[in-house]
Amino acid sequence: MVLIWGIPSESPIQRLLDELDTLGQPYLAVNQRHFSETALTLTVDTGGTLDGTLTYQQQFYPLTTITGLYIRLTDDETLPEYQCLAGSDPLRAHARQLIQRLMIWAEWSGCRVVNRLSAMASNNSKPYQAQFIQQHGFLAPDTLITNEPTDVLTFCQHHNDRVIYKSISGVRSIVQTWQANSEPDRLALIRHCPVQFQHQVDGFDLRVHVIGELCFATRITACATDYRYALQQTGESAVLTAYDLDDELAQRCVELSRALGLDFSGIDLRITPDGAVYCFEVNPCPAYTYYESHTGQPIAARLAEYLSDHDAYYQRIWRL
Amino acid sequence: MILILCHLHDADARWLYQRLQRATSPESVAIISTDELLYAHRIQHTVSPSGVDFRFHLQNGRILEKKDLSLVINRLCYIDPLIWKWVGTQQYQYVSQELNALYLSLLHALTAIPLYNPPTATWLGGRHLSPAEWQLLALRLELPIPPNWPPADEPAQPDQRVLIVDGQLLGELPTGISLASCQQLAGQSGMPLLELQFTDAVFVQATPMPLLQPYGTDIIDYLLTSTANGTHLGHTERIAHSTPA
Repeated sequence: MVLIWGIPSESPIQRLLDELDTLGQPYLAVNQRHFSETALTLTVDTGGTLDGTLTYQQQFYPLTTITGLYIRLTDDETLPEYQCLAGSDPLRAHARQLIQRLMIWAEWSGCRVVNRLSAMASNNSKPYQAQFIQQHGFLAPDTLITNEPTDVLTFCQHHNDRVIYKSISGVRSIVQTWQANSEPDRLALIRHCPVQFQHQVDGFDLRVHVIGELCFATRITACATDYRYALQQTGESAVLTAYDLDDELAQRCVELSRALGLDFSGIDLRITPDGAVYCFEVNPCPAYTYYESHTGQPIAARLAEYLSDHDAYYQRIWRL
Repeated sequence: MILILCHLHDADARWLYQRLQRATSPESVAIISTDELLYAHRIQHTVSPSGVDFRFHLQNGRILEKKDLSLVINRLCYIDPLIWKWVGTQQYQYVSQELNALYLSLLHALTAIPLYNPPTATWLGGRHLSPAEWQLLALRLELPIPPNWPPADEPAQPDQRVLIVDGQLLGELPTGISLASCQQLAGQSGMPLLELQFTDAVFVQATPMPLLQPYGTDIIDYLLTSTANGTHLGHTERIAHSTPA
């Protein structure tokens, strides 16, 4: 059985459930908002093998029956059901303990998990992740993180004013261009908190979704600095099309994803006019439905096969 | 140069600094607090095809560069930009995440030199596991753990501790505890320096951020032996660590 834990109305979960239905695979979707009706007990045998029981809406599910787990959690504190609890309400502690136990089980059970929290954390620091990206044969854009305005000016000059800035951490920010002599008063603000600047690389964007060993590449055509905000930045939406990835590049994407411990990832690439491959980041919890809905690529279907350990998944990998 | 990175309140880091400085020379050892890092007046961290580098100009005039470091004792847990609490929760949280992302990358850039301990994506101080997870890992390595796993609360104060540094044991193991299992635990956690804690000769948890003073001259001697081998003072020819016990 596949266990899905999150908010079922979110489109990545909804699409996954649709495809599990199509496959006829048994699953249980635990709504994170229903934490008061959920309990998880864990046990361990003398050899350290994990077991236990999930209780959800008065039904009992032995953990040994779960072969695949998809986690897409929201911060408890943002849930209306949690926010309305008094500070001393024991349900708060229960909700925290529930997630802690889920994490232990996800990390240590050996079950197929999309994705383990420890692996997802690499996206909390883009320059940290960039170091892994470089180790796996991808180029990372020339990057400067600084709180010194004169260093930014030098960096801009070095890159002929083709520079963007964005967050260092996993906090979502809109990628924007920066030019050496624009807004010196704003630039001075970086003295209060270092900012990440990067060489703006020419080329077209590719989003590669890696599911285990399968890749789906989507080409994004947009004039915007950040295609996710193309409509706001240029007045025109980005155009997404399916893209054939060559085997060597697909293999590198699989290896990068594996090195980061991710069973499912969304890798952001830019291919330069001379064919060099830059990698900006690896998203550990990709909102894949945006790409699927524009291209018809069967990402949710393959994810469902992967999580349920379906024969069809292996037939595709081995090209049978 | 040996660099100790720590929080202001870290008495064990200061003790280590004083003891190492006394045993070597004042310029061979430096200690820098999170506050000094936080208020550095010039920070440069670069990622480029030629590698990953950093350079810090601290308020006291000291310049910290990656190339000068030969051994780093990392005692950082979390960079808390307290001053930003005055400007509102959202800004404070944003700056916290940005700074911790920066220092995670900086520390990771040091993993090519001896680093006790390397950060993980979840914690600047290294492998961050709950007592339940440490016990589970220990059990799989045939170390005895308390009954009734998972533990409901934080384990009681341990009555015995040992340190595993680069596979070497500092301290005395409880009777019946396998050294090989302890070494495997440290190895599997990815922490070159790990303290294992026991109560009534049963493993209760481990930490990559232990108190250091209880190990007294043993930990100082270990680090000095390494430096005497030319490993940690920036000598160009490095000599491998001595064979683990």
